[in-house]
Amino acid sequence: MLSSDIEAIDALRLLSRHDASPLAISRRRFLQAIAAGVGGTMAASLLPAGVASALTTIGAHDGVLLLINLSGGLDGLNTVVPFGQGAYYDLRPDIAVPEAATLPIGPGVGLHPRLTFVKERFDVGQVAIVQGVGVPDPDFSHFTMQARWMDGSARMAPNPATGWIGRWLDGLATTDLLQAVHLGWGGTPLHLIGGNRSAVALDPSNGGYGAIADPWIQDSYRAIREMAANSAAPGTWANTVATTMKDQLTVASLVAPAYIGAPSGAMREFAVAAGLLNANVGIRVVSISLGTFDTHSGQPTSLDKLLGELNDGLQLFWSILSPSLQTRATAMTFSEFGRRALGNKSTGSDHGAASHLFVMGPRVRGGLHGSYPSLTNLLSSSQLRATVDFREVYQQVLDRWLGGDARQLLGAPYQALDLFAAAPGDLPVVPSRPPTPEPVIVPGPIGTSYRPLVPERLLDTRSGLGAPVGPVGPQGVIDLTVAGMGHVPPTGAVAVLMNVTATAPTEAGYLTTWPSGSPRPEASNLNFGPGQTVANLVLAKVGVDGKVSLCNAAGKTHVLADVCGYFVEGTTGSRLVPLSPERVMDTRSLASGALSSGGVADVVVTALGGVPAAGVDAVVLNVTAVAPTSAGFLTVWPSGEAMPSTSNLNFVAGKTVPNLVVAKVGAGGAVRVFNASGTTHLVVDIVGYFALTAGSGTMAVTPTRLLDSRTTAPVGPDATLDLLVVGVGPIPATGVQSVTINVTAVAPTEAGYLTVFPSGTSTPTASNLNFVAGQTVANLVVAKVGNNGKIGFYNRSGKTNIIVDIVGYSVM
Amino acid sequence: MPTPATDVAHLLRRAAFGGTHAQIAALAQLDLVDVVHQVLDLANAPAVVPPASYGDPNVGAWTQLVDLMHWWLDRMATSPTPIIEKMALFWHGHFTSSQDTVNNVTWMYEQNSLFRRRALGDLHLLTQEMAIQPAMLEYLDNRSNTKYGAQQNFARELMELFTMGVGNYTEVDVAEVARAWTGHTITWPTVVYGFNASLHDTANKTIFGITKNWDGPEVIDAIFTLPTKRAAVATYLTTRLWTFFAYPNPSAALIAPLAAAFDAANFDIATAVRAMFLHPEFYSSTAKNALVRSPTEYVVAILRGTGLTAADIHPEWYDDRMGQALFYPPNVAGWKNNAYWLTTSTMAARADLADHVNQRLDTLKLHPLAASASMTVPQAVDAALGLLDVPVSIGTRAAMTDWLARTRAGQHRWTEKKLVILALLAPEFHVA
Repeated sequence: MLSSDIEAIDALRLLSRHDASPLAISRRRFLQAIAAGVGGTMAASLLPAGVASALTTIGAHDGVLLLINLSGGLDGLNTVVPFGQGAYYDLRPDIAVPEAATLPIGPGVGLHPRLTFVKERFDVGQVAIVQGVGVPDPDFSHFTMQARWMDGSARMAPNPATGWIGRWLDGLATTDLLQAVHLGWGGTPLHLIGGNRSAVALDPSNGGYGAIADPWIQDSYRAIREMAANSAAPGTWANTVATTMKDQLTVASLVAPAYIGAPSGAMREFAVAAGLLNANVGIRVVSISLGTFDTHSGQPTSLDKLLGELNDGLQLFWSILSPSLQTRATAMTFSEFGRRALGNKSTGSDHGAASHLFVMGPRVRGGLHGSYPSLTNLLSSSQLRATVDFREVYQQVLDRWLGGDARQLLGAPYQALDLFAAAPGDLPVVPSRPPTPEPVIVPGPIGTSYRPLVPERLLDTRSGLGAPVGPVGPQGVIDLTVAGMGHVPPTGAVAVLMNVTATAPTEAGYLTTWPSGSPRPEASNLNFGPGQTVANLVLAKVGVDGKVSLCNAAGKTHVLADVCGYFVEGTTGSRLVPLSPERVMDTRSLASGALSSGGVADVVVTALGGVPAAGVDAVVLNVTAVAPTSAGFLTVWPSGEAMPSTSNLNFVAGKTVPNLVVAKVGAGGAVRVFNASGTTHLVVDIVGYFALTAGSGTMAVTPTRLLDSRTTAPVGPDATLDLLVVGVGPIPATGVQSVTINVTAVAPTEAGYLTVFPSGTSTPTASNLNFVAGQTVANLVVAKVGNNGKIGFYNRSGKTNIIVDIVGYSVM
Repeated sequence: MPTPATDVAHLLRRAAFGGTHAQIAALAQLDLVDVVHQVLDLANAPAVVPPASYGDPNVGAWTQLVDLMHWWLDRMATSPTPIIEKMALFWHGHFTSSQDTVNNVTWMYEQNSLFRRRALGDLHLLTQEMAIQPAMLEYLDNRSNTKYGAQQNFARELMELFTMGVGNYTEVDVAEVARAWTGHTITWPTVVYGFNASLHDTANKTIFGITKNWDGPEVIDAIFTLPTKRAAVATYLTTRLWTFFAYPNPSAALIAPLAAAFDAANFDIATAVRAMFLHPEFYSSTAKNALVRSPTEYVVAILRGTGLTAADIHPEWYDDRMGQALFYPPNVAGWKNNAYWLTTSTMAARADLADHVNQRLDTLKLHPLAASASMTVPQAVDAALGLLDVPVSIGTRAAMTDWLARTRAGQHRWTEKKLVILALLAPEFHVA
């Protein structure tokens, strides 16, 4: 329907519309409100009789939003510059921002030199930079991508009729007030259009016909009012024309103060936006646009100018905004896409995929959010891979700032980010700069709760369960439906815990899981060699279509997946209580000895150590088969229940294999372990439990790589590597109790093991990964975070590289 | 029997773009049947010659399109057969295509020419022809509808918005009609309609319960042939036409006989329109003043009243803000009516246009108040109101008179030409 190279401005025009009739009513109410809100004397002298003075001001805890559309496709790479990566300079010899010019904001990352005010606010914790934000399955058309950003719904329908702010407007309880204004020509853009309410478009240059204050011009406005009042019979269209004409004159007069003193040029809309909010008539959202950022050529000059305008505009906005509104205001940028990492031949950059965006204000959780997109693992034609779904940002803005049912407005749960440190509030602000960071006054998101299940098999490519019969080929992807399968509910499960097994692989390789519909992350869940059967527990976020995607990196392998529980939003299930690892069973020191073939062992997991006697729904265990005598597997399930046809870990003779197991607690506060064949010792460490009360909520995130020591140095024998996890990647800076990480030991030089524990505490008697020389193994780890925000990785012997991918975290 | 002048004036505002006092007086001498006959008489239809810039490779597409807008607006204002232009405007909002998507001035012009050529002709033929014009093939994606990937956009709108309306087809029909239309595309490099047999799905399709190897045009034939489908088309199009010419939401009882006549006339559009213009309800108090002038009608009324051309006043600077840009319908459902046109921002655009027209009249030495120094207040008000094709109320005249008197008494007598702005903003002038 549209050529992909349609200009951004044309795309915006296509995505805008002139207000339809329902808005005439809103407008009338708007002017009633604005009449009372702006300069009383002017209102008194201009308002015709009969205009009520009903007024809804901005509530003391209502957030207001300045939404800035950086139209045309913002070059994220030159805005938040990865100066620490040589690849950046290799890719963009003509347009890279020199390291010395950037304004450093983190290790290897700096802001564009024109973003001085943004940097100043960043340094005091008032700017959240969402790195690598993008749209799943991107294309490179301004139209399509603007439509997706403006729509913001999970479905990503081809011709969206409403936008995310518009749907928010639809759901507002108040019906008698205009809530959103778009400053711009050409109608109201899609993101501000709802099913039955929309933002009003105001001309950025002036308040419209009727705004001139000269008395003789005012006198002609008076004549129009009189003409309208005199001529039209009530109930006729002429009467409606007359009323609308009078309304327009009144609106123009009354919004006029917002335009007074506003500079011309790109700064103007920032100033008028602040003026409209200062009117305090209940406007919650003001939308403006800047650009075009479509910098195909001559980029250094044009981007310099544009980012300068953004920076200065933001500074102007915050300087004009009333002090009483400052803690209730947040500014946010968005752009339809980023630009290719590789510069073009015209000293510019072409349409790309992921970019970055800014969320700014005294209540945001300042810092870098998400993870910087890789400059080496690019999409085809050199686009950055998104690391954050753009709707994650909307979820935060709706849920935490504007106050709306984000899940309903977006059509699916999104909750990987934590962009606000506090709710909109009416605390007094300190106007002097730099402002003091505001204290945290509300806790972070409550996160999800866990509902354990007796394990059920959802996928087995050997039998065709959940996917076609046959092994998964190289780069093969399975989109496994989990919602509504087994005992997982059709809706509401935001993440699942699954034990994933690769069996009969033809080559060394690994599996990656991620939420369906999102870009495939650079992460892995389990690694295998040819012919090995390897299992690992996977905390998998569920995609919007109820599916989890699995990809096999190389060779062919059969894949099995057993679900053992799922996470729901809110506190209606069990909450995670992370523990320092504690060993609860080690058959090597028991008189009963190793577990025989077909043997079972009940492992009591409650009323010991940090685990209470009652109220425990499920336990998080690291189960290790030690020195088995033949190939086999272990199954773990609640004591007292029928044994399921699932497995938790697989082993071959002589090899020690661990796996994380989350098991529902059965009769006697115990779980039961079954050994399928041969004899094996059993070691069980408890690392946490799920209880109905008092725990923390789990946030599943799209897997994100936190550490790859291959790029630095391996960890030596009897050494501990401390890894800062809070405030890194998708993990919030505060409130984090534990992280769920997939840990891979790569090419260890000797047989040994890794222990993961809260940094700053003594190394516990426990282990998480066991390996032999040269073997790459992975295991899921639930690790309590130390008081220093770090977790420790203790390597017993030899040297090994460590890869850490985060898949979730828990917050109080 | 003579026809009341008010009825003639009403008919000319709807079937045309308003009439002069002389036209109205002359037609009022005739019987209504003869008045309507004259309105629908196409004998004097002028030749259709596109603007000079059309197709000129040295002229940019936007300029060509602006010239085309001006050309059409001027035809609306001056054609001896304005019913053709009014019908073309109706079809433009019915069988919609937008330059925003089509991005080809030639295709938009060809579509506009079809709307004029078949304006009052055979609806069945018009539907067949519009379906395979490049503008429509591009706008609703049938261009990329192939047996390898069916594209339902056109199939759905053909039934939902263009012919029968919702409830007269199933989702299965939509999918199957889409298959029937596969391969009807735009050929390269000639860039005209072509049927590409290799892209056409030749398997059987079940449409309206009939299973055979349907081809796209056969679907339109079926819609205009199968009795229940024909009836749906007649009702749907009669309702749309009545809404456009008379008033929205007509009763089923009113529409039923008109639709039956349309069907009986084998979808001859002139017959349907004639029956409406002769219907007593068309002249009822419900119908009179029941429509707000669309932005296009407002512009044309200004052109007719002032004698200016579209190029003189640049309506393209205001049309988008007024809510109706020719060749840019907002979406496939076209424009709506009445309240749709009335928001504070669209009224601001109408006021800005009125202001601009006042300035242009002055600049072009055509201002009706150029000699106002020698006019009395009532004379000046008459001169300003002489631009309008509708009478105004005593209240409107009083407001204008009072303002002029105040202005003359004050220190800003030089502003008195602004009386024309007041006239163009008189509420009566915005109603048809």
